[in-house]
Amino acid sequence: MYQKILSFLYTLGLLAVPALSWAQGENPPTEDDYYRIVTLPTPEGMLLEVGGMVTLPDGRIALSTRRGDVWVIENTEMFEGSLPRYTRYASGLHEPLGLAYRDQSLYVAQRGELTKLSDTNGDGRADRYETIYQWPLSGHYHEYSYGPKFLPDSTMIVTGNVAFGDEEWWRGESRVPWRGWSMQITPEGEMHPWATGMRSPCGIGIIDGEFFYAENQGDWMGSGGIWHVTKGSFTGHPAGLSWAGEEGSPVDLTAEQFYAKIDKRQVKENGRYVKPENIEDETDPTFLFEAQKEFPNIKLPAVWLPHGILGISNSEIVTIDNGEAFGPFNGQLLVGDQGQSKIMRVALEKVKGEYQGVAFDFRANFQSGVLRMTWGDDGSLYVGETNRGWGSAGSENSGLERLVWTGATPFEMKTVKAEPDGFTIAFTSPVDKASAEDLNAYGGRSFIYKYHAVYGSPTVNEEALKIKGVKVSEDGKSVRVVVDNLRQYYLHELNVLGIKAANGGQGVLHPVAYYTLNNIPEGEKLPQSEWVTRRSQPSNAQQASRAIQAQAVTSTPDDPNASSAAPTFAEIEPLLIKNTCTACHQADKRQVGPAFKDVAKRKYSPEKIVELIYQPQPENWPDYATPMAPMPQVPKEDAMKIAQWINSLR
Amino acid sequence: MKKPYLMATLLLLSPYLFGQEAPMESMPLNDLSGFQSQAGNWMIVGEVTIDPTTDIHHQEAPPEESSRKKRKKKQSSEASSAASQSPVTYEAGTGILLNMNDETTKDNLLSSWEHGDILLELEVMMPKGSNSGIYLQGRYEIQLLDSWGVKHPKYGDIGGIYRNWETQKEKIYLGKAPLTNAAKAPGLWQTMKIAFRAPRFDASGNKIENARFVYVDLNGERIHENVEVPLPTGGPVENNEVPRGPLMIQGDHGPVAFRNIRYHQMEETSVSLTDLQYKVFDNASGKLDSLMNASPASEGSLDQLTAALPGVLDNFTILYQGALEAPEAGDYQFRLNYMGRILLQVDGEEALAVNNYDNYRGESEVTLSLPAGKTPFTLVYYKETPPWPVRLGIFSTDSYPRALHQISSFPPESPETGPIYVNVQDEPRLLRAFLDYEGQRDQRLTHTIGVGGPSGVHYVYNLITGSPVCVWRGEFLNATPMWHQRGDGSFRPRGAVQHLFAGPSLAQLSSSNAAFPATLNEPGAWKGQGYRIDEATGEPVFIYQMDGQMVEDHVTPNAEGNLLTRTLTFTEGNPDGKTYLKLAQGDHIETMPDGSYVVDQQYYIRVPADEQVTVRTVDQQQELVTPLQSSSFEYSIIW
Repeated sequence: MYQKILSFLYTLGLLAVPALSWAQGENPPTEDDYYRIVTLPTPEGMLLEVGGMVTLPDGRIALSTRRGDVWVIENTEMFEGSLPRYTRYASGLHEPLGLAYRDQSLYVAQRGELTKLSDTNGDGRADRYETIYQWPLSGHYHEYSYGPKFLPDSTMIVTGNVAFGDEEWWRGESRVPWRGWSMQITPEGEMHPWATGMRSPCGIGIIDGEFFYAENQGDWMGSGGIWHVTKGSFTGHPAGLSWAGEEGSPVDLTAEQFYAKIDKRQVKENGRYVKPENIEDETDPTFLFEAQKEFPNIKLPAVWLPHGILGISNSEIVTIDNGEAFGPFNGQLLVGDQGQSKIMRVALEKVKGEYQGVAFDFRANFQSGVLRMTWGDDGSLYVGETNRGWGSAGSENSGLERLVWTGATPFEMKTVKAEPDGFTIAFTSPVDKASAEDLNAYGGRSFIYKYHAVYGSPTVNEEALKIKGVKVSEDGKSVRVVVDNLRQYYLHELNVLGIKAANGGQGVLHPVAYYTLNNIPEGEKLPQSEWVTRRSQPSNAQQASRAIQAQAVTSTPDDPNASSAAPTFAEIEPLLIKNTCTACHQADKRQVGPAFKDVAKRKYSPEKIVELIYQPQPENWPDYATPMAPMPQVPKEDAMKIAQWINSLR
Repeated sequence: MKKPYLMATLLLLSPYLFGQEAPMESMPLNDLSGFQSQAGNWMIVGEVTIDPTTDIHHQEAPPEESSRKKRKKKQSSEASSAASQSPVTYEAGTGILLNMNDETTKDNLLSSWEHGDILLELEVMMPKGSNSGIYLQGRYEIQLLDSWGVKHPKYGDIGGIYRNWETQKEKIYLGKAPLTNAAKAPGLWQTMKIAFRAPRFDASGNKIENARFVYVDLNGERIHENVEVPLPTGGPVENNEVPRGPLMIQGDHGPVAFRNIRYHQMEETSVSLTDLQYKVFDNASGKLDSLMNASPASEGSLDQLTAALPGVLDNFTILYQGALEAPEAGDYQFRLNYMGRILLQVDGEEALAVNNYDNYRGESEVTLSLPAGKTPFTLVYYKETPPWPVRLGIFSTDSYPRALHQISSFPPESPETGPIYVNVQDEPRLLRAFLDYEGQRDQRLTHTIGVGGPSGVHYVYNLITGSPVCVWRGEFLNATPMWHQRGDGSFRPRGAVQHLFAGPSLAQLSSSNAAFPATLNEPGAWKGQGYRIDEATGEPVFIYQMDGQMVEDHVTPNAEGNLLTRTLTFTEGNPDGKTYLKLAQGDHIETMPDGSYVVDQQYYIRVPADEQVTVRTVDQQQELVTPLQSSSFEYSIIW
C-alpha cells in the first residue's frame, strides 16, 4: 500500500493537494495505465532468483538462477490464459549471474569461470558444460562474476566484483587477478583484460556495439551510474589497479601512481584500521572529473543515476530496439534497479565525442529487485528479479515478471538534450503552450558527488538552476530551456512540474529529468529575442501550482499553531522523497532498512534521530545487511520534521 | 568465613561444554589399569591391522546361546563355517585396547571409575561382521557394528541406541536408529563423540529426568541430537537406573579395537540464586557506587532472576542483589548471556565486568570459588542506545547448562531460517560451490563441484586440480551457507566426509621422484574443459587437456553404493611415461593382504591386480603413485 502511495505521489509530481489542474474528480494517470506488470506463475517450490536472462531465437526465454539452474520457458506470454512451461536446461552452476546465446549454445558466467552449455543429444537438456575460461577467486562472498555479453566481433565481456577487506571490511579489494575488472574472452577461451575500476559491475549491456556497465554506490562510488567502457579505461574504483602491471593489461595506471595523488584514507588508530567517514563541510573535496585531469584513463559516467532517486543498486542495461512495439522510446535505454525494484529510462547523446545523457524514472512496483531484462518476441519486456539478501522494494524476494505496453502513450519528456546555453526537452505529445511558456513551470538544481574512499557521497555543491527563458516549438513537442548557470560535469536535475499536456491537461508522468553534463556542446545560443520570460503569479496561475508547491517543500513556512505538533504523513511524504529516505525505508514495512515504525520504537529523541541521519550507526541494526550512508545533505529543518514524524509512529 | 577466591575466565579458556574446549582426560592405554578385571579377552596392544575382506564369522565358532541379541546370533550361525585365518593381526605395544574373545573368554569390559554426566571421545575399529557396544553407565548402549554400506540404518547398526528385550509393556524400549549411517568400511578407524547426561533422581531416589544423549557424532557426523533414553537398553550391567555407573564395553560378539579414549566428567550442582532484590534505573550506568545511592524508578524482590521487568526499555540499568547459595565449598561455573553490558560482584569483589558497547549477543563465562552456604552478589545489567531486545540469562554450567533465570528473561529464539538442503533424486545431482576443505575456511577451494549419486555415494571434485577431494555417503549437501541471505558461496557435505587430498592427481613429472605441482592451471600445461553428462548414467565425465593429451575422468559408484571407482581415459594422445597419477597421500600408506592399500587407516585404495603402483615419500608425506602406461587406468576408493 505504501508503495502505491509512493508511486501515486511520484505520479503527481510530489504533490498531494486537491487543487489539481487537470480532470477534476478523475484519477490522474499512473504508470500502470501505460505499462502493465504481469507476474508469471511458477510451480510451487521453484525459486526464480534470476541471475541471467536471454531470449532464444524461437522466442523462448532462458534464465539462470542463483540456485544454479538454467530454465527455458515456453509460452511466456500465456496465450489465452494457458500457463508458461518450464524446462530445466542445466543445473548445478555456481551462482550464475548472466546468460547469453550464440549458435545453439548458452554461455554463462559462474563465479569462477565462463561456461558454454550445449545440448548435443536433442533432449532439451545440456549435456556438455564446457569451461571456456577459468579465472582465479579468493573465495570471498562478494566475488560475483557477471555476463557474458557478446560484442559484435563475437568476443564476450565478463565482469567481476571486488572482495572486501577482513579488518577493513568496508574497503573493496582485488585479492586475485581480474577482480574489479572487465575481461574480454574469445569463444576459444583466450582472455584479454579489458578495463578496470569496477566495484560491483552487475549491470552490463552492449549498446550500439559498445560495452556499457552500471555501477552501484559504494566506496569510491558516490552514486550509481552508467559508464561507457572503452578498452583500457578506469571507471573509478582503485582496487583492480593492483593488476594493471600484469601482462596483457591495457590499463597503464598503477595503484602506486593513483594513491600518490589520491588519499587512500587508510588510517590506523590503536592498532586498528578506522573506517573512513564522510568529511562534513569539506573545503576541497575531490571529484571524479578532477581526478580525470590527473589520470586520463578515468572514465566519467555517461549518466549518473542519482543514488536513492534513480535506484540504489543499478543492474541490467538494455536498448529499446523493437520499433513501436514498446511505445514511443525506441532507441533509448532501460536500466534496472535491484533495491528499488524499478526500471529507469536513459537517453544518450554524444557530445564532443563522448556519451552523456539524461535519465528518468520509468516503471516502479515490481515485486522484487530488478536484476535482468530481456525482450520478448512479442515486444514486451521480461524482468528477472531477486534481492538475494540485500532487501528490495516489493513483496517478494525473487520472481519473473513481464512488462507490457498498453498502447496508450504516456505524456513524458521523451528526451532532454544539452544545448550550449541549456537544454531542449522533447515531449511525447504536445504541451499546453500556456503552461510551458511560464517559467514557474520549471525548476531544478545541479550538484555532484565526491570521489573518496568513503561509502557513497552526499550530493555537494548544490545550486538552484537559474532558468532565464524558454522557447516552445511550433508543434508544441519540444521546449528549449535557457539556463544561466550550467556547470560542466555536474548532474542537472530539471523538473517540469508545471507543464500540462495540450490534450487532456494532465501533468508529465515523470516530471523530473537528470542530465549529466560531462560536456557542454558548442554551437549557437538561443537569441534572447526568442525567449519567453513570463512568470505567472502563483495565486492566479493554477497550472503552476505543482511546481510552486514542490519548491515550497524545501521552505514551508512554519505554521505557528502547528509547530509543536508532529507533521502529518502528507506533509512529510515529499520530504521523505526529496531526501531519498524512501529509497530504503517504508513507514511500516522493512525494506532495505528498517521501517520508520521500528525506528520509532527505539524511543530516540528527535535530536538523536537527526544526529543519526547525519552519522548513522549501522551497528545498532545488526539484522540489516546494507549499512545506511551518512546523509549530511538533508537540511536540518527537514531532518527535524522527519524525526518528529517518525516519533509520531510509536 | 573464608574469603571466596574469585576467578574470571575467558570463554576460550573455559570448559565450554559443546565446543572442543572441554579439558578431556585421556585413558593412556599403557595397561588395563583403568578397567575392572576381566577374563582376558581384553588386552593392550601396539598396532592393529584388520583385513577388511574377512568376515569374523568365517573363522569364529558360533557364539554360545545367550539371552540377548538372539536374532543376530541366529544370523551369525547361518554364516558360520570352518575356521580360517583371523582378520585381526596385532603387535605388542601400547595405545590400543583390543578385544579378542572366543566362546569362553568373552567378558564385557567395565571402567574402574563410575560416571554421571560425561563427554566421551574414542576411535573404534572393527572387522567385517563384528559387533560390540558402548554402554554409558553400563546401562545405555550405543551400538557398534560393521554397518558399512547399510542404506537405512536401524537401532542395531553402528551408532544406534540399542533396544531392550523386555516383554512387560511398560518396560519395553525399542531403541533409536541413528539419523544417518555414518559408518566406514571394516578395518578403518572410526571416531565417536558422545555427550551423555545421566538420569536425575529426587531425594527419595525416584527418577525425575530420563537419561539423555545430548549428542552423538560418528565420524564427524551427528547421528543423535538431544534424545532421551527412558529405560536401560538390552544387556545392562544391572537392570536399574542410577546416578552413576561404570562405562562398559561389550566383549562377547567379536573383535573390536579402541584408541584415543578421552573423557570429561561433569557434575551438575544445586547452586542457586536466592534472596533476590532488584532496582531499575532510567539510564544506563555501570558505576555501582552512584547506583547504590540513586533512587530507582522501580524496585522489588524476585523469586527468579529476570530482566523482564516493568519500566525496562532501551536505556536502563538493573541492579540485582542477592546471594549465591552453594551446597558445599568449591569451584562453580557460570555462563551469562546478555544484550548490552554486565557487571558482577561477588562478596564485594569484581568477578566480571563487560563494558564493550556493542555486545549484541554477549556471552561470558566465570568460575567462582564459593564457600558452602550463601555468598552475597551484585549483578548490574545495563544497556543504552543499541536498541536490541532486553535479554539476560545466567546458567550454572558445572555440567550441561542449567538456567538460573526465569525463561522470560532469556526466552528461546526462532532460528533465522531452516536449512537449505540439496537432495539427490533418481538422477545424479551436480552443484558447484566453494568447499572449505577439512571444514577450514583458510583451505577454501574455489572451483569445486559436488556430485551426488542416487545410490547415496557422493563426492566433491576440484575442477582446478582435476581430482576428487572428498567422498561421503548419506545425504548430499547443505547449501544454506550459499543460498541463505547473501550467502558466502560455499556448501557443506552432509555426511561423514572422508577427505582425500586437495592437490592435483595427474601431472607430467620429470622423474619418478619429482613432486606433484601445487596447482595445475598453469597456462599451457593443463586446461580444464569442464565436463560432459554421460547419457547412460547421468554422471559427469570431467574432461581436460594436458600437453596434447585429452583425458576423461569418470568417477562412478558401484551397484551396492559403498565405493567409488575412478577411471581415467586418454581419448587423444597416449601417456608417454611421464604422466603420473597420484592415487592417495597420507602419513602412512600400507599394503593390505588383498593387495589394496590403506591410507592412515582412514580409507582404502584398490587397484586392479595387473597394475603396478608404488608408495613413495615426498616432503615427509607418503604418496601412492604410478606412471600411466596405457590409455586407461582405474582404481577404487573405499571408506
